[in-house]
This record gives sequence, structure tokens and C-alpha cells, in this order.
Amino acid sequence: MSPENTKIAIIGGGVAGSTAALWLGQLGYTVTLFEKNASLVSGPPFCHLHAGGNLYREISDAQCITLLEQSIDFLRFYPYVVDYRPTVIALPLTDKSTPNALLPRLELLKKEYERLIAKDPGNKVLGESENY
Amino acid sequence: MRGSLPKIRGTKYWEKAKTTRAIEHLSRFIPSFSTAKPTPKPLFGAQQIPGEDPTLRVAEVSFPIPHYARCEIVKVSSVLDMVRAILADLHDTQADMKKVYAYLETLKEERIDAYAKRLCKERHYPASLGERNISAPY
Repeated sequence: MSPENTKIAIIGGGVAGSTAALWLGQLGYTVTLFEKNASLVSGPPFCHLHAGGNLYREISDAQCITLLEQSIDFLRFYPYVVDYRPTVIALPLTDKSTPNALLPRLELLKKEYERLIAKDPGNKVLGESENY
Repeated sequence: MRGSLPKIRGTKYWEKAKTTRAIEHLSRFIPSFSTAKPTPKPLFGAQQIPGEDPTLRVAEVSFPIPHYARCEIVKVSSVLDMVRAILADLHDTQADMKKVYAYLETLKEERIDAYAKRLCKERHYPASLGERNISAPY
């Protein structure tokens, strides 16, 4: 079945429904989006799209890489909606670790970011990889 | 589900308890924050984790019956993986990314800024929340 002959109904115009509607619509599908509120994506603003997620110590390196890929993907699709802010790392005195403990992970992600840029230059949405 | 608050989840009491806990947490970094008062309107959305496993920060898409997808987004950046899963279910594996990104060419950042500010006002947020502190520095 071609996209043009496929009708898609999406219930809920939050970020998931709206993104699906936009993407599928661009591909030529006939999309109807249902939303009860006055405007789309009416939840609170999103926070920590990329860096914050990478700093969760309980997630694995593989999940961190997935987060990086997804964040780049999202930035390419929604380049005008994302704010860029510095990341400040602070630990409470009661924490037994140190901020430096994050460095191996950031090094890993820097290499991964480099690899993604080599694969597709359009992926360079977070500045130069050496500055990551 | 967090053990300490099983019965009030989803109620306004749950929201307040969550906010009070967040204030306590942040006060460990910024002591003056300890006098912050909870308000009903969240300034930003926190990640929602299904169940108790904090490693599950992914998009959940299931296809319980033919021609039907059910989606639950845990974090906003995974929405595109969700769309790809739906396309795979539609057996559309040759998505042309040029077409997908084409909408960007018709958008002007100034128009988005103006619209974002209007939405902020409509939703009773400060208009400045619609602005970017740093717009694409690269």
C-alpha cells in the first residue's frame, strides 16, 4: 500500500502524536490528528534533552550511546526548538563519587559523536566533536 | 511505582509530594532553594519512568492488534524511534529523509519565536520562556 492510499488517525497531539503526524505527513500519508486542547504539545516544556540523560550513573554505556543518537536525531528534526545551555556538574557533599568519575563516559561519547559525524555530516548538531 | 506514595499517585497530592521532594533534593545544591513553595503549574516536564526501573528511558510502542499502534513516550528524544517503529509496522522501510526534513525549509526561526511567545502567554508562562538562551551556536 502506498503512503498516499494509507489513512492514519492519531489520537492525542502531544509530542508523540504531533511528531508522528508531521513525519508521516511529510512522507505522503493522509494523517488526521485528534487533540482535545486548544493547541498541540500542551504539556510542560521538556527538559534535559541530551546532556542530563548521559549523566545518570545508573544507565549503561550502551544506553548513553542510544541517548546521544536519539538526541542528534531529535535536534535534526526540530532544530529551532532546542535551547543550548552549559552543563554544570555539582555533587552534594554526601555523595561518595567525584565529577571526574564521569570523564571516561564523556570520552566514550565524544568518540561516538565523531563516528556519527563521519557517517553523516548532518549529524554535527552539537558543535565540534573535540569540544564535546 | 514508588513504595512511599502508592495511593495518591496521579492526584494533586502526589504532584505536591513529588514537588516537595524535588525542592528538598535541589536544596542540597542550592541551600536558599529550601524555602521554595510548590505551585500547581510545572515549569518543565521531568522524565517519567514506567515502573521502578530507572534504566527504562525509552519509547514504548506496541502493536496490540493489526493497524493499531499504542505509544508511550518516556523521554522526548525517543519520539523519532517511535515513528520508525510505526513505519516498520507499516512495512515502509524506505523512508526518504529528504522528504521528512523538507518541512524545515519552509520554516523561519523568527516566526517560530513569535509563535512560541504567544503560546507561552496563552499557557500562563512568561513569554521569555519561548525564547532560546543560546540559539544554535554551531
